[in-house]
Amino acid sequence: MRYPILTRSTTESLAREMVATGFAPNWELERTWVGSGQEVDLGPLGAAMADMRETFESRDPKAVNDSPEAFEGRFAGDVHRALRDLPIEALDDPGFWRFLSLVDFWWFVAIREAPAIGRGNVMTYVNGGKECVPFRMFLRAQAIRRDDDYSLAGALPKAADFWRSHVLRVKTGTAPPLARSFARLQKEKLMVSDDVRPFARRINRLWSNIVFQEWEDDDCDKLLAGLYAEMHSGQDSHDEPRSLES
Amino acid sequence: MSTETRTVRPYVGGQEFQQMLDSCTLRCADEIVEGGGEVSVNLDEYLNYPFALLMDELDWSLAESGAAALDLDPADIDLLVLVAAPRLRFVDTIFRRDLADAAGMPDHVPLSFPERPRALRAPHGGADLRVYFCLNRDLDPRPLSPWRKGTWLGQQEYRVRSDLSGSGFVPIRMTDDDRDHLGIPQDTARFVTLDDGDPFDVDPATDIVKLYVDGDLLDRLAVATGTPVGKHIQRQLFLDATTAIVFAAHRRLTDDPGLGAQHVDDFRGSLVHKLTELIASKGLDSAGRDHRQIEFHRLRDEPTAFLAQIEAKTGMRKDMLDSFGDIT
Repeated sequence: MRYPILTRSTTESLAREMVATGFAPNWELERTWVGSGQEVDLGPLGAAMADMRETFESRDPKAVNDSPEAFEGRFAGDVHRALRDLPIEALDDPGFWRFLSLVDFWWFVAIREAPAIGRGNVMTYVNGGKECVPFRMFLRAQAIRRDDDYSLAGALPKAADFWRSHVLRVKTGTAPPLARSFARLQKEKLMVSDDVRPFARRINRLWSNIVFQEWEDDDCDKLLAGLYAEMHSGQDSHDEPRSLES
Repeated sequence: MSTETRTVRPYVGGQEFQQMLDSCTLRCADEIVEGGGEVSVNLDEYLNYPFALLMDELDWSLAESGAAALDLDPADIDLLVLVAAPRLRFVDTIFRRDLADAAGMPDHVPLSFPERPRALRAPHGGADLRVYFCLNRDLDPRPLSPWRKGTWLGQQEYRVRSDLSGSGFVPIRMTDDDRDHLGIPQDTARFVTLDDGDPFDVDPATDIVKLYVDGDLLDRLAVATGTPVGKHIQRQLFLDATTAIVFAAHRRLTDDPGLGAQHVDDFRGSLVHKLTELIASKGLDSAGRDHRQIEFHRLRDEPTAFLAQIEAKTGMRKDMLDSFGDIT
């Protein structure tokens, strides 16, 4: 199996030119292949992106639920479904995500991250790292996936910071039952950032004692409901790690 | 008066479980890795060589006494082995068995047979191996006793990285276009930025620290890496990158003071944690944890003094003096 990549330097020079002039590269010339044999099947991703683009272009730009941010969540599951069975070697390779960023996702990246790109920062969103748009969509969907159900990925329309700071960049993102439970609670309670931050910190501290990979959704729902009730009543849990002031 | 906030485990006893795991090692290609350690192997070794968790030094009789000390049934405690892919953010369970028959436990757990874990097929992001003794079900809650499913009684961690993974500070050749783009003068020789990167991110991108270095300077360095002045400049570049991380961390701590109240080990894997490990140690014992936390507080309260600690670790003073050569 072989998969296409773009090197970092190629990505940087192409992305800058695409931003500056709208240049359309010849990908046959720019891409490099890793591995040998049959190419990975990117057909399902192409179909998912075509569907996303068609839906995006017919959206109501004034509707909150039709913002680029909302689309990122709504279509994260489709992206994951299209890519999840590819070889792990490809999914691990930043060069593969750089290729997807510029070839399949560029139309969306340019809109979604327009303010940052306008300030000259394009590489953050196409370099295959954590903020790379297709990669973060994939990780968000993976974090909340239950079989083929990805609905929670798009359940919070204005929640980029929730996913970035409280799920994907912390251990919660590695335990799907916990991430689902947190997303469900946030969907229900719509905590503002001043509330969600201390709440997320409580969850993060519990990782000091508990291996959440061992938990199911019901366990997590019960725990988070209890933490939420405590936070709003000012009581301490008897099994939460204590803080000692000395 | 100073104030310190620590997270502590809210129950007593059970040290036997940690003692047991402290004697576990990871065999990684031809290397043996102690608990809390990190090993870097080449790509071929990462993808093809056998890996195993070695438990032949483990005193299983401690399981019984440890369980008795906590008034637990050994059948309620699992030995659990997880392999995580820090870049791809998934965790696979490789081995799980309860301690009802501790004496029948294997003396090693193969990690690459019959099927290689997904993380060990993902060399860009590396793999984190975690071993726990943990409760396998909810028990009746009791004060000062573990009772929740998943509560760990002992833990150990090993980090495996390949040539392709890690978050080193790889210099980027700085061109005039880069200088224009970055908004810095044409004569700038070096520039470091994290862009929007978070130094507390537990899984930082491999290129989170962008270290731009003038092309002419890089060319001269390439042929003078072993000379005193070459060593001096390389260490200075490392310090430049470190300074950028410390500035970024300090900004985050100012914006979110709650971060400073956490234990730095909560951010294991982050750039901030790596810097505290550099000054203190990587040890998972309480002395290592406490030392890292002291350094984390130094970063928070006296960032320049923290940088001095880093500089001292680099051995830069000697290189600075040597770079004068025979000039008297």
